[in-house]
Amino acid sequence: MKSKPKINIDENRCSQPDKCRKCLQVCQPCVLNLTFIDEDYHKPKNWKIIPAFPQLCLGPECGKCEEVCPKGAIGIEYKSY
Amino acid sequence: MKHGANGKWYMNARNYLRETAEEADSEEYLEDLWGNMERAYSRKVHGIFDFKWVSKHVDTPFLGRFLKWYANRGFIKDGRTQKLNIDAAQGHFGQIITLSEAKKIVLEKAEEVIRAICPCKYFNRGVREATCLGFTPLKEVLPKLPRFIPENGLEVLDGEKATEFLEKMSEKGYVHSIWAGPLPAIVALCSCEIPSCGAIRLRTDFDINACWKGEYVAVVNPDNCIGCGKCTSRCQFGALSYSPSMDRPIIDPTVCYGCGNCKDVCENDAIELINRNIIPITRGKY
Ligand code: SF4
Ligand code: SF4
Ligand code: SF4
Ligand code: SF4
Repeated sequence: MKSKPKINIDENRCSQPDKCRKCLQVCQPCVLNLTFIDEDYHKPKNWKIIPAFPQLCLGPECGKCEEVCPKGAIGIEYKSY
Repeated sequence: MKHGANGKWYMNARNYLRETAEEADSEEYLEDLWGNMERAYSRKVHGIFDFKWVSKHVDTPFLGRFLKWYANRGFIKDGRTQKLNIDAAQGHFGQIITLSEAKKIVLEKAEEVIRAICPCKYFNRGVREATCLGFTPLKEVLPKLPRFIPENGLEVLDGEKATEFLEKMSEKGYVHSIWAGPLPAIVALCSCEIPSCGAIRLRTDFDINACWKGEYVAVVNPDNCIGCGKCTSRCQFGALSYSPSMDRPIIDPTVCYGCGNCKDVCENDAIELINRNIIPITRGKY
């Protein structure tokens, strides 16, 4: 059975991603992105972290983002497929 | 693309004029492109797919080739004559340039130069750093997008300040690239790294040509090289490696982007930049 990394981000715990941004800084392959969901793009307020390119993730053995997150908002696991 | 001095589109002074920016509707384009930069990978193109999705399918036999073709032909569209889909960053063409070319541009070509917070290092890397030089149309648009304005405001840099800044960026190890918004209007000169640059990483990670390689290929001159190894930590693209048997670096021309970072750090004049079009295996390969 094959498996690939699955990145879970709890938006309720990650309350101020545009201020924190710690996970983005430790991820070697830049898997995660900061983005926003506001309609108006001039002064966005609703930011969130998304796993933009999970196919580049090194998996739970790396787990650097999970370790650094002060809110315990990230979980990396293997998903079978 | 219309070429200027030495056949380089970015040395064509016309492409920097306010008039060209107006013909290409640059300000309207940039407000949308820069305003949505942090969702560059999740904007739905034709309401169907985004770059996140595309990146997962680029290696699929037929679909992958189609997606790359669609994306690649979009980047080189001309904003004056072709309809642009900004969701797919069409017309947002970029190319790697050397430090000396970058300096020539800020000294001789651009009308006004300002500094902006780099959107890519912010959304990809969580770092806020004012490393993008913007030209006239971007300067006009940024007041509507205050998050990209550096702490000291939108200061217009004179030639001396701008070249000093570029040298500092090179010393830091950043690579310079020149950007249209949309073609043929040239709007920004960025100093960045891989994989933080939102466009260059599409190329290096997924083989999507959002940024073309530079006009040159670096070649080591063994007569001058003393094997000090200074250049070996400078290549962002993985083109340069150190050969233990010869005790000097070797450069893979098919991987080299011609940024000149290795050459700029060499104190012995042991690395040359050669026009990529005179080397058979790199001819026409941008
Ligand atoms: S586990 Fe490692 S590679 Fe994967 S997203 Fe986290 S830091 Fe990045
Ligand atoms: S480190 Fe945690 S809290 Fe901080 S931005 Fe990332 S997910 Fe959010
Ligand atoms: S920096 Fe110059 S002299 Fe030193 S190893 Fe590289 S090419 Fe040779
Ligand atoms: S080998 Fe030199 S010129 Fe070529 S990409 Fe690397 S640093 Fe740039």
